[in-house]
Amino acid sequence: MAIRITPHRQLETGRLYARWHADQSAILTNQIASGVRVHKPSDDPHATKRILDYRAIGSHYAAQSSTIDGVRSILNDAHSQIRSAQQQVVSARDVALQVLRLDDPVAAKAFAQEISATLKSLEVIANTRSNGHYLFSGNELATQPYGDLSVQSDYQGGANSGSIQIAGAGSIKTYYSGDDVFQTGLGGSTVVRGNTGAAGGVGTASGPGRSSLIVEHTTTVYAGASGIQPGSRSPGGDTVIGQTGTHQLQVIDTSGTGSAGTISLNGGDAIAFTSADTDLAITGPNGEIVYVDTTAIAAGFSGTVDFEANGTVSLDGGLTNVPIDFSQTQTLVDEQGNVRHLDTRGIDRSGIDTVSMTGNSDIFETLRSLRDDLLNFESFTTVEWTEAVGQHLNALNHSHDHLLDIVGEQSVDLQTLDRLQERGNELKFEAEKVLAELEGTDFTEAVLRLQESQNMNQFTLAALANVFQVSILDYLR
Amino acid sequence: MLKENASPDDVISPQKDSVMTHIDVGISAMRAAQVGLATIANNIANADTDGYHRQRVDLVDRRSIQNQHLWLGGGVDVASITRLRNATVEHALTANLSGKAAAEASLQALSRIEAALTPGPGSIDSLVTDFFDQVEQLALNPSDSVLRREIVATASQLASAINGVTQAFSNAGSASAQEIKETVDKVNSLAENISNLNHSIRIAEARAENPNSLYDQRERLINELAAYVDIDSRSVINGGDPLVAAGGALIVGNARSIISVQETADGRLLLASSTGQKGIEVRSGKLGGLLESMHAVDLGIQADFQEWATSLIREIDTIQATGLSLTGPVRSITGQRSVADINAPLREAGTAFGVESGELSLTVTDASGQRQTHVISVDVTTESLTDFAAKLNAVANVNASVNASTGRLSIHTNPGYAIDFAGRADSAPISSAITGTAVPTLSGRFTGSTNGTWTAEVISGGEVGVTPDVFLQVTDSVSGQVIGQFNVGLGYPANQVIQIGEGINVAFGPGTLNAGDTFDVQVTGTPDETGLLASLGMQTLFIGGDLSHVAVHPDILASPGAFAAAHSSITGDGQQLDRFISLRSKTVGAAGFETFEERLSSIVGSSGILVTTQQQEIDQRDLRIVELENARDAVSGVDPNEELLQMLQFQRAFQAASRFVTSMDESLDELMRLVG
Repeated sequence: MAIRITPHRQLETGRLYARWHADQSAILTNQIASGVRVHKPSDDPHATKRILDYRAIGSHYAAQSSTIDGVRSILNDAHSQIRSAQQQVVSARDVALQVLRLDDPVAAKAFAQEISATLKSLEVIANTRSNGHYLFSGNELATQPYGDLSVQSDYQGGANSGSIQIAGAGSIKTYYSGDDVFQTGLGGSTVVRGNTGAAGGVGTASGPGRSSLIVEHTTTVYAGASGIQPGSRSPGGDTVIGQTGTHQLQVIDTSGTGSAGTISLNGGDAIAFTSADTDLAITGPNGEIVYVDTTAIAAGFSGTVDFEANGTVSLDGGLTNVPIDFSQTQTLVDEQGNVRHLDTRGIDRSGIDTVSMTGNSDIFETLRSLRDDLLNFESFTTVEWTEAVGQHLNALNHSHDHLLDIVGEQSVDLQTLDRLQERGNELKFEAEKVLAELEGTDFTEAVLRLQESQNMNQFTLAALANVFQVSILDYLR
Repeated sequence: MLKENASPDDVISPQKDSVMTHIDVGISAMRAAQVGLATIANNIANADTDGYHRQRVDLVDRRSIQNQHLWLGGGVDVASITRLRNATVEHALTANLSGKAAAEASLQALSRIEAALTPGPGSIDSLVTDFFDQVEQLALNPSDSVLRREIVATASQLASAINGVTQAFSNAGSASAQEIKETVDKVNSLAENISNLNHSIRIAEARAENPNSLYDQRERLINELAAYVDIDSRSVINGGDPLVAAGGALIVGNARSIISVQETADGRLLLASSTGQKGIEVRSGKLGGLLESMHAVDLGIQADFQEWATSLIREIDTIQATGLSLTGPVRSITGQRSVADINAPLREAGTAFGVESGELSLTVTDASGQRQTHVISVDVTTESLTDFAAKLNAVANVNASVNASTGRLSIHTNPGYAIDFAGRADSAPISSAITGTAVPTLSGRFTGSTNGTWTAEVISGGEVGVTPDVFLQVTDSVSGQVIGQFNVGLGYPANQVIQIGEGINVAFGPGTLNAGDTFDVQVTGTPDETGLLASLGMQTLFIGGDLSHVAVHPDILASPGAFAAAHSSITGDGQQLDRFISLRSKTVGAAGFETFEERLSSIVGSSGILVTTQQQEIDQRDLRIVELENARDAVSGVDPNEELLQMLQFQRAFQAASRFVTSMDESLDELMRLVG
């Protein structure tokens, strides 16, 4: 059935289509003017979801890139400082090599000043700040890691390095712990330098640093029936220490009654005694001293007297005095909490030794020791000097290698970050590209569609204007 | 096509043919033409009247008149004036108008929701992304006060945005509810008008009057009513008396039923009829659209958004509550969220978020920095907030109380002590059976996700750092899985930290360890399994019990250092930020494959789909309505040209009849002259 169309319907239909064309033109004009295709979710719900997802992805990559930039900046700063520190160590090593065959005390002092200057430079490096934070203070970002390094290297920063989790790279160290960089203690053997007879024991020492081993006498106990007794100054005054058999007294009763005679220590010069001596000092061939009471020497006694001289050792400046157990491994803890294992079997006299650790890479301690040794150059024998400087050279080499290790670690991290950032930038670019495709106006299409829509609108309006053009009224008279 | 009001055939008695009879025939023709012209005039006058049905004059020839043996025609009569109408099309049109009105009402309501969720600068989606981005940047420098302030400001804006969207949902609901009430009034008013019209039509029909205009008027009212409620198709086809609408709840004849709006206890709106019918389902029309959109919003997008926002706030608050600010543990915490009933089991007590039975780790730190973590088990099915406070009170140096009037929990410590919920490893093992002299020290933060106990056992004894091969074996006490073996003998520098695994460290001082020596380490991956900290607002980032009143805790707003980026009070510690960052990739929702950002973008996209669906429905209805209106007007529409041609026809008929009467008059005059 052919449908019957009235002019009213033609107008209504035309008006509807004209409105649609106008609406479409308005939408397209808006898209062209703003450059954005999707203004609200209903413009393209599926695209809206994807747009938001890609915006989040893009923003995430941008944030990650910014974080990586920050990490790189910190690592680059630290890298640069560690390289400077490495150069300082190289120059200190050169000094050590020069002083190995030193024979001029004046020159030694000059070299000591040079080492002091190096130490000062390292102090500046170790306390470097970047972006308001200490580079080598670990996760205690606001705490200055070191004080006056010419005196001591007591690290104040965080025990752990500051680190950040970066997706794809895992945990990256940002702010290194000064302990790790300048004072790493990998564990090694205990090294003792001095004259007390103490030696490094069995066991793994911990922590860097050099400390003084104070060996003090406590008591002397004489064996046998000689009648000899410790003198009144003997406790703490005797300088000999050792188990029975380590030291010996030679007593000769010349009076036959024990009232007079001679005594010698360890084969040293004989000294006359009488039964009135209560605190007679006897010096051995190496300067060792014992104080004896000869008031009760057995009549007619002539012979050797063994004795046991006990003592204590301390690594914390005398705060804690540990009785010497004359064992292969006696464990002590110094003021910094470092553990040292001593072989105390050979201790034979009181005195102060220096205790350190092999594998020690405490740069500051090494430099301080070198400086102090240079200042005390004259107190060293040639052999001791060579040994001491050799030890410093080893430590400096160790520190130098360790710094290179850190530099290498940073380089690897930086390389990882570079790759990650590059990849992140690529993904961000891809996200932005997709986003632009989803969100942005396709101008060619939009302009063509706008033109089409406007044409359609014109046609519609033109057609509508003609609805009443032909009417029977034109023919009625 | 149906003819309406067709009058029965007149019964004309046979008459004798006469001149007057012939004049009467002409007059009948003139009268018919006159009626025809009047009808055309009315059609042309109403050519643009909405709902007008063109009318047609139905002519019938009169009974024949007998003349001798012949039967002559008796003239013409107007049998009826018929409205031209296609009832099937009219019904379809009414149904589509009703459907379009429903879609328009839905569109209006849903557009308000879409506007609230529309992405743009400062919109909720961009704020969530900014928050996570800024947290990631803070990880580089956890103590950075500017970044912290930025994060807190973004969190505050996010809270405002959540409030805004929630308010938009609420406003949309209120507006729809108001519109529903107004629409029901309108429906009842229209029903009354139709009822009155039915009454008038019945009287007119009884009087054999032709109530075409009343029919049109009723149909216009029915279509108007269809814009508000659905109309039963049979009643439209049958002319609309009685009219059945609104899912059968509205019946309009001479009398009518009345629809009313009732509000349920939970704020939902229900429609009821005076016929006793309740819970009326209006299938179309504005009322149907409003009810459907309210339902769709309530159960769909609003529920999705609420679930999303609640999850986000709960997760963020849980992380914040189980972390540490720059100042470390605190002496006092007051809950910022209340429970409705402090003595009811927690699950039924009206907490802000859902709570589960499980363990909560409370760490007490003394003045010397020594920590002791207490694991508190909570059964939310039997224990109330008051019971929970009592358990907290049982911890030494901790005092907890519940304010009965506010329903909030407060915890404070004795002087010299501070608390946190970070679940950090204790400084010392939780239990120890070491017969040697070496002392273990614990540190670090467990990076796993479960809670449990690890047992460390000395496999072969000796002196730490001295004796070769002093082995320590660490085992998960629950699973029995060996975490690792560690040599603390020769080669181990005493006091050096050993990483046992998953962030937990141990160090041994110098001394001896004997074979068989053991000690236990508490590992806490989820310090709060119960969700109570977030639900009670204990040390949370956000406060506010419902989504329309979410805000950042004023203390954190004033002092961004309180943002819990750390797991310790060390300035560079950003370990808690890792959990915030992990939250970004955590999947949420029932399906569990979308992150928070993706879920939100799905919700935003869904709002667009709802609007688009309604818009498409409207467009489709528009097209269908155009087709149906074309079909309707093909029958009922007035074409002025057509009417004018018809007019010419009647005009000529009138002229012809008039001429005939004149001729007859002249014939009579001739006759009269013959007589005269």
